Amino acid sequence: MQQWNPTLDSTAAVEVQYLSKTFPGTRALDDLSLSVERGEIHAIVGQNGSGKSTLIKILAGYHAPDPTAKVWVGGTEIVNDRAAKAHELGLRFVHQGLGLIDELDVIDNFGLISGFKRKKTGRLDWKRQAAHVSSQLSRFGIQVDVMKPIKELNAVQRTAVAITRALEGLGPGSGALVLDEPTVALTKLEVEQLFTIIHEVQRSGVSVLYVSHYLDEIFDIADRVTVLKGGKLVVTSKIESITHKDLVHLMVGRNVNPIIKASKKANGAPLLSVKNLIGAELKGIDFTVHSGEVVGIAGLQGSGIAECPYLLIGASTSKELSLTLDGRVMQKISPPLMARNGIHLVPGDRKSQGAISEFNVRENMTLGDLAPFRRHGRLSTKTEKELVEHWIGELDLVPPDPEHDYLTLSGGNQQKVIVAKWLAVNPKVLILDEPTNGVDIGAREKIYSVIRDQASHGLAFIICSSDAGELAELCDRILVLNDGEIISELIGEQVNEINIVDQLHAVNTQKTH
Amino acid sequence: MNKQRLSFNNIGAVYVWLLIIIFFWWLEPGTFGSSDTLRVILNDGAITGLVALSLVVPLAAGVFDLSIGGTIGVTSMVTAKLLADTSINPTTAIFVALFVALAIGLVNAIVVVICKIDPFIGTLATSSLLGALVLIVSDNKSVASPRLLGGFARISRIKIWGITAPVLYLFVVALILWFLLEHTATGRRIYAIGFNRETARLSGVNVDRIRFYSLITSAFIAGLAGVVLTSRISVGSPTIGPPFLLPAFAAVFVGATQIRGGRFNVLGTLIAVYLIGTGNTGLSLSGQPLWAPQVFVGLILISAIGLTGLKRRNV
Repeated sequence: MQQWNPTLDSTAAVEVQYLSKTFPGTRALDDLSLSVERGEIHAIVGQNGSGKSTLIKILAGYHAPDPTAKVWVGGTEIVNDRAAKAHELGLRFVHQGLGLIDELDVIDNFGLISGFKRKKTGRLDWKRQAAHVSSQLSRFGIQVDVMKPIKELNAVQRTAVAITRALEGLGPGSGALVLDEPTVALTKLEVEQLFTIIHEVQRSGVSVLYVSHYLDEIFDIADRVTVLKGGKLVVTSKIESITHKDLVHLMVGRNVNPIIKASKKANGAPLLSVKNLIGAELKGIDFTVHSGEVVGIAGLQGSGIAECPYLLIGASTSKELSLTLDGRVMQKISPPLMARNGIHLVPGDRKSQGAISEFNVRENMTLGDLAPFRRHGRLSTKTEKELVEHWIGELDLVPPDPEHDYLTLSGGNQQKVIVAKWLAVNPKVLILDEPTNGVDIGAREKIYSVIRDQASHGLAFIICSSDAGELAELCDRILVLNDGEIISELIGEQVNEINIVDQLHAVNTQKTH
Repeated sequence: MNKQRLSFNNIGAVYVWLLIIIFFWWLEPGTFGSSDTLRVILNDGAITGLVALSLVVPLAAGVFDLSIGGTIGVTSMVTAKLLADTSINPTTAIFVALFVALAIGLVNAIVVVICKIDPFIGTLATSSLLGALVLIVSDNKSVASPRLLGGFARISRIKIWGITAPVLYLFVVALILWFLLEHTATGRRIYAIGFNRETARLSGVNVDRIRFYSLITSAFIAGLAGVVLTSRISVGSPTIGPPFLLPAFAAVFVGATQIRGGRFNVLGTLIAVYLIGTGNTGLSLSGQPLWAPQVFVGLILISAIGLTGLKRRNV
């Protein structure tokens, strides 16, 4: 593993130096220097929160970097008007969603970005437009019917269209393409087909910055790989001189002390049994949660982790799902019913699902269950305040004021309000979806300690997260999801970050359909 | 705390209202300054106020009810027809009209909640149906009858402590809605749904039920307004309802910028109703052109919403 020195090559396709990005409370990128050579495929790997997406967003001009940063594309430094300038210089993006309009055909999807060919009268010249689009696609050996709407193409064709569209107008031997998680929705065979196309792109002289969670893919496609961790560049290495195991260790970091889990409790009684959890991505998983147990469900985008908590409380429907709570089979599964039975979800998306921004701290915290504050049909604000003040104390809310506006709290304190809101309803099972997304370290520790404390009193937790460090710190047992199935279960000593990351970033071997 | 309560941000409309009163008093001391004017403003505002209040609960729950104009028309026509063409007594006629209002609310609720049609579109559609119903019942003719004058007229004309009955009805409805919205769990849930339906749903709030009943509430109060209005003008007219729609919405939206900053609320709505009422009365007494009141309402609405929009952007 040798460090790549970016200053040696001034004609790099893309080069960044001293790149930092500070958000209020966090430093997402810390003094990053990186260079993508002409014609190379350069992979970026790292856990969630390592700064990959921030890097891409800065390159795309969505975020402005801290002022120390320098960015060159094709040897020209970009200072102002970043998005337009980068595009002009040949830096192009295909984001995960592809940005195509499914209902429109391939020709229109090209035309929306780069304009249409017109006749002298101003009328659109469909013939020339179609020929133009077809010739663009054939540059990379892609054959699709350009008259077809996007939704009728298969996943590889769609990605190919998005890539070709992004690269439109680039002269030969120039340009760089950023591909963000292009294989999440693809089967194994499709991944191979896509790689053929990416190699064609490379052969035309375009450099590729390739971001993916799947480490084994990286070894198939990349020339070099850069590992990010906590916003810092850990290493840039030629792919031949690094192993899968190295990558995992580099992503986790050196200073991982295996947290010795006091093999504390003989598990409590089985509390909730889940059978046949099937969704758009989940293919039918089964597991059981015991009282006082903290179970983690680990998974990356596309694994089914996102829908898992919503299916569990019936916010989305899972037809085959059977839930057994305390030995009793639940007949119907809907959020109000689950709430009545003590099963609650702390949603991952604070803003749109967790809180009501217009409410103050007290109103948010008590919304989960207002019944205890009723006095002869009247809502007793005084009783509300007593309970809210208790939770404010438990979670060290800053400022400790029940009447404070929710919206003007810091992200960490907002999350404390959300967690308190659901702890306040005396749940039996609490499902937390990405519980510390965008939460500062102090608030995170506080939330962890409250979760541990509650678990020791018998409350069961299911924690759905893509953050391996978080799961390793919190959970007694971890189920790792890959492509809709549980590929491994980590118990006791096996629960550590290395194991989780290793399993999470395993190639999608399951993808055979 | 007190300082905040009396700040311009919180009750700006009250200060504007006072300015308007002083202005017209200065402009037309003879007419505007008389106690008759005060009574006219109070009474005229009562019915607009009832109509505006009918919107507070659904809007707080994030549901538009555009059919209240139609509901007023139908209940007015039903009451007038029953009294003119049959011999049933006024009390029964009123009950039948209110029952019809509830039925309209039920239809709205089914269209919006059960059929899952966007309330804006759904109630626009039922509003059109109600317009047709009014024409069928009335044959596009006003209904007048001596029976609309006697006992029936009294329900809007009797005075208690010098205040006419409609003002009292307004006060009672306002008190009930205020208690519901500000002091009950249901009220808290109504606001929760209006602000963020998804969060409310995931918090275990029965979103559908509250949206359902919010439309029943608006139809019932609008029906009440229709009955009181018919009693006050002693005639059943097919064109009576729809003109109330815009002023009522204007008042509720202006009201939402007052007192509870950003929440549709009862007290703010009342202030807005009387602010607009005072302005309109002043304008007509001082002989301004016919279009002046509409300009006034438009400007108040834009400035109230605009100013709070600015405030929010500053946060």
